[in-house]
Amino acid sequence: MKEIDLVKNCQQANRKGQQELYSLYADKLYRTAFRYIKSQVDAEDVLITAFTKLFKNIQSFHYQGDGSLEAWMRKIVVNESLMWLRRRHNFNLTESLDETLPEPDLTQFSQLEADDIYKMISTLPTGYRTIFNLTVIEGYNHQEISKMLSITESTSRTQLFKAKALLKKMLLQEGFHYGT
Amino acid sequence: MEHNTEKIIREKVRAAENSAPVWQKENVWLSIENNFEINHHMSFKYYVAASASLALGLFIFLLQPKNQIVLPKSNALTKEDHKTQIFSDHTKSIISVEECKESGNTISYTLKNKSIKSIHTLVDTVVITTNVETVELEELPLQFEKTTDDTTVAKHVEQVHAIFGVEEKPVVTFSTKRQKKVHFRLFKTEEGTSPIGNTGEPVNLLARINKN
Repeated sequence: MKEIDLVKNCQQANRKGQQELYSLYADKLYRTAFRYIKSQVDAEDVLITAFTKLFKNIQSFHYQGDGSLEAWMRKIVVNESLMWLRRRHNFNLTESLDETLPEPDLTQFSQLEADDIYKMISTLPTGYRTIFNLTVIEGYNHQEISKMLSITESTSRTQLFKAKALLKKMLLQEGFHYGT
Repeated sequence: MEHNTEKIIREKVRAAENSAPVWQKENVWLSIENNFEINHHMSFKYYVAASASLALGLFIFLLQPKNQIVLPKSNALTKEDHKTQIFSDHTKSIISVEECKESGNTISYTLKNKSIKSIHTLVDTVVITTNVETVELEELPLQFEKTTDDTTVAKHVEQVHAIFGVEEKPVVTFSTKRQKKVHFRLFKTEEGTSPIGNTGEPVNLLARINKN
């Protein structure tokens, strides 16, 4: 079934259509939630809330071509994950950053296998991981992140810097050396 | 360069997310389905509760006694008739009267300053005239008395004002100061004897000293 037909079925509250949409995207969205939350049970809870909201609000979704449905669903899952994190984590707690330090280079990190990258991101502390996910993977800028997490832009920048530095450090400790 | 690196990382992470993880996919779906069923049940309950309360409200509204007096416009007299009558071509002026009691040929309305003010401003056609004096809207409550020729005379109801007592501080003089002095009774007459100085006979006096 095409994406647009799936949307139409879900908008008509067709249970089979909803189930098909779920079986098609649930795995991917679960991994997205897990990338933020790092706990299977909690990621599942987030997914339950996200899909319930998703089916409830699908009437307001306007299909804008291939990929728009997935992007919309991803946004809902990310928002739900952030809501979950905000209840349990204080994103304002961060150390000051020396502005003169050079930005850590992630070229070597980007050359790792996809699963290794995913795993290494998962090992980051909550604050670093969240900002890294939002900036690098989802593509939000610091201004947007500051609004989403109710933090300052400088806090967001600092956390991203530290996340990248930590990833680089982990990469060196693990002994991954790709290319020259 | 940095953006390229981030793009590569993004694509790789998205690719990694395509692989099927081990999780309770079926159970999560069942929970989502349950949520929907609960929501449907809840909304049905809300509809039932709302309908029931609406029906109850309508029933109570219809059962209420209508002790409103609506004078038709044709019966309305003008100021020149020198007779007091409430007249209005808008029944709302009567509806806003909070309480209406009829006993004999007297109808008492309990009005609130605020409500009468609003009638006055909202309904321009409401006029209260009297053959004695113009009824001040501020002076409330009003009492309307039916006369024999089916007109209504407006009277001010005498309002009883509560009198609050004022407690004043007593004036302190030298004499009151003296009265305030504490008198110690140090002597007590013996049983069977008369008070001191009445008989002129010698009297036994008992002195008690409190050591404590």
